[in-house]
Amino acid sequence: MIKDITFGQYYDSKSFIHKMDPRSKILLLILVTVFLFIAGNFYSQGLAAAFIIFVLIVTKVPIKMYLKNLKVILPIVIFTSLINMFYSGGGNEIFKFWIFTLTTEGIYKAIFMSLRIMLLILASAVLTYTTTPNDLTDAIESLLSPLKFVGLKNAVHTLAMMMTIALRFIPTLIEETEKIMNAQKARGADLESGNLLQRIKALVPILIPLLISSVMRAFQLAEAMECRCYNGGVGRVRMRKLRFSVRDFVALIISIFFSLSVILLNLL
Amino acid sequence: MSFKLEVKNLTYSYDGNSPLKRDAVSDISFAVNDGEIIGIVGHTGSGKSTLVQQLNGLIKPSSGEVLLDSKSIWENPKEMRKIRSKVGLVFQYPEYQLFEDTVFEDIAFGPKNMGLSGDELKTQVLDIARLMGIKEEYLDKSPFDLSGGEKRRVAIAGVMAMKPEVIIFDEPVAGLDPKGRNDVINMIYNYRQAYNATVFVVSHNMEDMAQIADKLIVLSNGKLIAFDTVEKIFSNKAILSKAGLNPPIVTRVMDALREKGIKVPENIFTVSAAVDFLLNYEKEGEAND
Amino acid sequence: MDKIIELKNVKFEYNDTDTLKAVVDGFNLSIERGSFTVILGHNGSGKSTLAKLMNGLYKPSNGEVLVDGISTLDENSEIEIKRRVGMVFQNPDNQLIASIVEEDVAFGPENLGLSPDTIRARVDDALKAVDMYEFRRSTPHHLSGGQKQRVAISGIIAMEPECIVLDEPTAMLDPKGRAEIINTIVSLNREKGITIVLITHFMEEAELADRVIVLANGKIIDDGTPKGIFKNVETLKSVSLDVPQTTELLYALNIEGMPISTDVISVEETAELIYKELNGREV
Repeated sequence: MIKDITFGQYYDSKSFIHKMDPRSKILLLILVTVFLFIAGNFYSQGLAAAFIIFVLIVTKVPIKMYLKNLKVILPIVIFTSLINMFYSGGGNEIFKFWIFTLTTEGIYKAIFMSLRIMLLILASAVLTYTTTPNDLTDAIESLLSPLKFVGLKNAVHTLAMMMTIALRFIPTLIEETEKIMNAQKARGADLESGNLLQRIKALVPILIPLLISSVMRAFQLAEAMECRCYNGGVGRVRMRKLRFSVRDFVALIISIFFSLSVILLNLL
Repeated sequence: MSFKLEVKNLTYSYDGNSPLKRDAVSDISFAVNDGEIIGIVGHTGSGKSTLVQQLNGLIKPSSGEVLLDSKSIWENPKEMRKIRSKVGLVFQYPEYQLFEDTVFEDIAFGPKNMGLSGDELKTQVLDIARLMGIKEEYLDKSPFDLSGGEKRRVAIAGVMAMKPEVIIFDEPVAGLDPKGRNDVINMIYNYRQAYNATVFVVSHNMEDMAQIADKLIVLSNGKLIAFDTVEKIFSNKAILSKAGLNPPIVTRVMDALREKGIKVPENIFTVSAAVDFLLNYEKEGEAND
Repeated sequence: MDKIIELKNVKFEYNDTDTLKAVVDGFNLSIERGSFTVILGHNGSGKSTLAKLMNGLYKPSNGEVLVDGISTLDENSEIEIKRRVGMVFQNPDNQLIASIVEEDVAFGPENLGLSPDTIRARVDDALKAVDMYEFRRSTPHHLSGGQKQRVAISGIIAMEPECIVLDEPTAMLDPKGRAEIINTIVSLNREKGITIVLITHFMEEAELADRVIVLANGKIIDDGTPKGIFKNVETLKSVSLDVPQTTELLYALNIEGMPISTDVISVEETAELIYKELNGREV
């Protein structure tokens, strides 16, 4: 069933948010992102944090999974904090060393910016944990569809097709890469030691077979698509239509309420 | 007497989180001698691939040991490449691993990785090419210009060129026509003959197994359910059906004849054995007239 | 009789140095509607080329190929021809497009521009026809080879073709997967009346066909019922075909002087023949 899709980050906990239309999820993520940037003081940011934590809980995805995402971006958070800490002027000077000056304003900004980055990451993790890659693709195709009217009809369809095929073939190619790596390792290939140049050279026996087989797959896939009456997407109708429901409306209302509150709190 | 290769309580539990599917194997033990040809049979998902990749250290067992010449292959993981040159593994459809400009270079890839160079390397490659019937004029060709069957032979020679003492073939004749199949089977025999190597052959095809193997390892759901001579296993219907396998077709014909009342011995697994038996049976019949 | 596919005096030339150099020259063949035809041929006999000529994927350089009377050279009918003659290939991995089974099956009908409800109904029917309905929300990556190939067949059935050409659909499968595919093909032919052209190098797959054509070097060297074809083991062996062990046995007995027919393939029939032969001698 759906949880079989191990590729991507999808976590099947069947929550309210999982059942939302993927298009509303993308649009609301954009909205929340914008308001994270608008949130200009600790009051409004605090509200944003509370809102996002509320959403995390609603998704029923284990908090551990979200923390994993934060761990990945920890270096960026630390780097941004340091930059902000020492390079933002103003406030009271706490201490000064060579070219570094630590001020209260700096500490304030460091905390503020780190929080903002972490909230951004958490908000986008909500989208990837609750939406299958297929739904994402369909949603992007649907959201970009107005571009059809400005002469980009093919571009939208091609992009969506490329994403669909990529999703389908990534696991296949990962498996194939492992197979070829093992086959070359069985012939004594050394992939684990040596300097950078040697390591790059050691990839040749893997990349060439992988490239050859991928090109072959591409040709065969193209023929198979032709045999299934594929015609570059002309006159194509999708079986599954995305539909907005009451859920999406509720989510929209809550999000608008959140946005207005951010603006109000910003005035404090 | 010590065994060439010994496997003790080998277990691999598959980590469900990994995107790469692998079948689990549990508590597998067996031991083999020099010069033996061992067939490994079992349905898809029975753990055949996982088992063979543990024999040359591509997969680390969760527990248990693989002993080569009585020494654990994991004793010194840094020496694993040396182990892999001693335990060669030919994957299914090995022609997809070819990558060099010429057949010679591709066959030389393995021996080069073992540290051979110059004349020594050249001799070793030419030796194998000669033994395996790869014509000298092919050596300068691009492997990608060869036919499917020829590519397969070059890829197999590429593993043999390391002169492994144990060599494993995973479905070596899959997708080949009868001529290609005979060529590959002859390569396997020739190699065993020339180097007294221990050979493992993984296959679905019981007819091929009857022809090639001395002994069979029967796997079912990751467990070893039998390890015995081909004769013993093919005459033990219970084991085969437990593993979801059919005996060779010719054996099934003989079984059907036995049910009809003809006294057929239990040990007929090849066409030639069947022909011998039937012709003699016929003569006896005539003699009784 | 009504012909679904007709090849008239077809010639096809490759201009590259591909391994599939086989050239079909002055080739004539017609496939009857509702029939089950097996085309046997070794690697490089031209059988894949022939398959691709049948649905217009390749165009003849001489002569013509007619599908339901429409020439594959007619550019306005390309889609219609491909809809009528569906095609299944050897490697199941390289013909599935979507990462969810039912969405893959929907790909063909979606291209035909049917209404979403019609597509849904066809997808469900097509998945049930190959017994893969319960896997409709799975991802192909987690299916066995035989299951993937059944999904590929289902994707063709959803276009409601008159005929399905299968180009070595079992070559990469294990015995279980192979049996699944052959059973599926037979039931499509018998229950849905779909014309089947099965291209293979396994002789035992020809047993259930109405008609068997043996191809070598781009030419038809034998054409008849399975029994008629299997009589000529010599011909089959001479073109490097995979002969099942039953045939091998009967053939060897023949050579050794036991005058026995070679026109059966199943274990039971073979045993029956040998039994009669042995008993006949004794009496």
